[in-house]
Amino acid sequence: MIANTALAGLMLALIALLYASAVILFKRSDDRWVESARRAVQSASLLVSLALGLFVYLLLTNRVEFAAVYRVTRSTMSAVTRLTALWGGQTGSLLFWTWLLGMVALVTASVSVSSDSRQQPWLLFFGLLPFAGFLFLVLFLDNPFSRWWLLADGSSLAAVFLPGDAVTVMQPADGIGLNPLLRHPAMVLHPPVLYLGFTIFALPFAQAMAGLMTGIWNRDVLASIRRSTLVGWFFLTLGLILGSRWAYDVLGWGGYWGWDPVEIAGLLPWLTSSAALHLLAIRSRTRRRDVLILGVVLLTFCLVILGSFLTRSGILTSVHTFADSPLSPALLVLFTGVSLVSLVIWILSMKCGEKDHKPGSLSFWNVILDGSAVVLILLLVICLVGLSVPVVGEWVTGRAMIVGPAYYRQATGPLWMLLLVLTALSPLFPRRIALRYESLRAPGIALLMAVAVGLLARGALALSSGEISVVMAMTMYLLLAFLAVREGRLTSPGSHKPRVRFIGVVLIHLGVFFFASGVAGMEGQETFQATLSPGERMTAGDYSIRLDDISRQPVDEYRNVTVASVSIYDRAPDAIHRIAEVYPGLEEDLVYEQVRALPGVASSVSRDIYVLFTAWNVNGSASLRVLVNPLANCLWIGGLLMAAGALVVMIPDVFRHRNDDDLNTIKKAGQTGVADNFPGS
Amino acid sequence: MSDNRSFPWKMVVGVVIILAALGILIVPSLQSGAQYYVTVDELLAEPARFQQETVRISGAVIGESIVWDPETDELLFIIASVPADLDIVAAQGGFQASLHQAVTDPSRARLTVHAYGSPPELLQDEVQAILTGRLGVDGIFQAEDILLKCPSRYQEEQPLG
Repeated sequence: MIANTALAGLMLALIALLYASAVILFKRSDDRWVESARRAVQSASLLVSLALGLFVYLLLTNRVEFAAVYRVTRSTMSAVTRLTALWGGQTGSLLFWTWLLGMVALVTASVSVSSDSRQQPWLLFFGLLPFAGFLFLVLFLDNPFSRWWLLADGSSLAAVFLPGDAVTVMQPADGIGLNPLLRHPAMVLHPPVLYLGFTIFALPFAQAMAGLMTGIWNRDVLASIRRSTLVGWFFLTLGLILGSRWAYDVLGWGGYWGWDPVEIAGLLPWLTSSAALHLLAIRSRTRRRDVLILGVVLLTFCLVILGSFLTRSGILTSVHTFADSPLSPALLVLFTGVSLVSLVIWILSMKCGEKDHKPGSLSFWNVILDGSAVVLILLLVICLVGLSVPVVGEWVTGRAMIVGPAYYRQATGPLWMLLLVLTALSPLFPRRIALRYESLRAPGIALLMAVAVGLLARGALALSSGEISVVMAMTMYLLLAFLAVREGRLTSPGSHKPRVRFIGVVLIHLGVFFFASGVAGMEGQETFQATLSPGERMTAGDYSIRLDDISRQPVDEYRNVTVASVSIYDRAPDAIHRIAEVYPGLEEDLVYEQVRALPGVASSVSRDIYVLFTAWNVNGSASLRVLVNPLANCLWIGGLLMAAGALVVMIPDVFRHRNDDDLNTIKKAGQTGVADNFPGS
Repeated sequence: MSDNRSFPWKMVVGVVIILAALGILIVPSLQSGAQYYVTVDELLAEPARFQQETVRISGAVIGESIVWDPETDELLFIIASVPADLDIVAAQGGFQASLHQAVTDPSRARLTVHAYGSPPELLQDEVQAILTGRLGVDGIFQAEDILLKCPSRYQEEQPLG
């Protein structure tokens, strides 16, 4: 009953989306037909919501006769854990992803982003397109409502409908539960936050396509695209930070980013969305530049689809990729289709349009922001080259090839440094100051003072060159911020109200500096290993580590955990000042037949002492691996600051009054869009 | 006033600079960071070659061979050859089945691996190990990096009838 209801809902939703697509392509000039299409999209979104709700119900009630539920739940799991199991497997996560795209489509169908009636149909069309594509995958390639059927020969088969030789629906005794590596608080939030970040980019994608198709956009439309891109960027930043934290806590190597292909696939849209936000920060100078920016926005969503393909197809070697999946060919087709359509429309848009007016003189502001965007795109190119080497290299040399982290670190390192320098100069420069000698005075003085601080820091503290660079860049940034405040550039013209958006931007870039500090600090990570009996000590850099006790206890019928009590002391001559007590453990999962390390971490801003219990030996001794991670917490502080800054930037938008007069755009002479060449307009 | 008919020198110079920068960054990094990705069979077919260069190799871990000496912190284990071709893997019944067959089939090529450090928690029987390192003259693979394939989130476990 539940499955049949959900399946009917999903099928009706797909039919509604196909109907809406046809209407928009052939009848978009008639408002009544467009209204009908809008309601069809709204209905489809609600039907998929119903299907998602029913699937969650199956998870909460441990209905393991459904294959997707069987693979991620177990009777001993709590309700909260069952809820998180929604994104614990491929099938559930695909349904969740599709639902999120449905919510974006609902926004395009329900909220008037542009009062120009000619844009609305295209907004609707390009909002529903990805939704329909993924809904097709859910229905026909990876259906969450497949059941286990018992076949005549005693084997089992997962299928939506009754197989010909099936005897009955099979009721397994229990499910296999979530993979032990996924049982971590960061994993509760990382997938949904990351998926939100990815799928929200479907909205600026639809907005950009609607603009390019009609040839109509103005400052408010671009501002709207900037806002939706920022929302996606906020969630994506948070999602990447949570993923790094999960890797740090769970994978047992004390690192946070391994340049894993799937990690890189998630970074790509972050790079392009960051570039788009920098480009959109500048008031439009030329129409051609606007088309270029919209191209970056389109590229962001294309990279989201690419990331989905790379993650789910198994084409790349990664700790994250999954078994070969029937979704691979379909996702590749989806990515190719979306990319080709975007590329064609973008190229046609470059040819349409009015003649550009005189662009005006270059200012520092433009150089810094455009320069930052160019550096981010270069980083994207380097990452794409690295990802494509396995495919291209094999084709050229006849042997399988791969690139490791060394390639990415070496190739991207100088560009990250350049980005830091540009960040130090932004965003507080007077906007209209042209590129002249006189305008170099303030940054020149700030640079000299930053160098002085750097030299002092090098003399007083044992910092690495990377850390010194970050200190200098942050000093310069803060000095320029102080100057901006003193010269009144942080308040709105004619009032004393602080520019809330500016404060948010300052927070974001301070977060960048903190994160860079963490990266630089972690380069100095030290590793120590020893085997200790209870009461014995080992030295780990400036610290003394003592194993106090080992104990073993069951967690539930499927899991046991062995815990070591470890005390950490200052390595003073007598080493009696205890800094912290940590409890690293070894968790044994009897169903997955897997042992995972649970690190014990003593945290402070200056360093983490990361203790891993790697083996409990037969003679009662414990093997410990201790990592001293300088400035590790600056990574998380930086990430959270960036996210918080993005929230602050969004605040004024909540209270803004939209100027509808601007949106009642009169088509200017020579201003054309790609859709002017389409039938049905 | 911009002259639309003049050659866009600024753009050309900008593009050349950007391409040059990309070339300077990418080419040397590829030379040091790109590696061949081979199977155990391919490695053993050209031992001299893979003593000269760092390579990435994949194999199925034979759990009973895992030995770790906490005194010297040396780790030894044996991997069995698994096919690289996904079509062959699919024909064998998927990744889980392919790894199982590799470990249980005595005719499969095997390679002893040596590394420093305690065994990673995921180092278990029938897990796919992806190793970076070089083949030693003694025929033992010296691993600099060990990556263990995350047990699939998409379990193909079949419930018992």
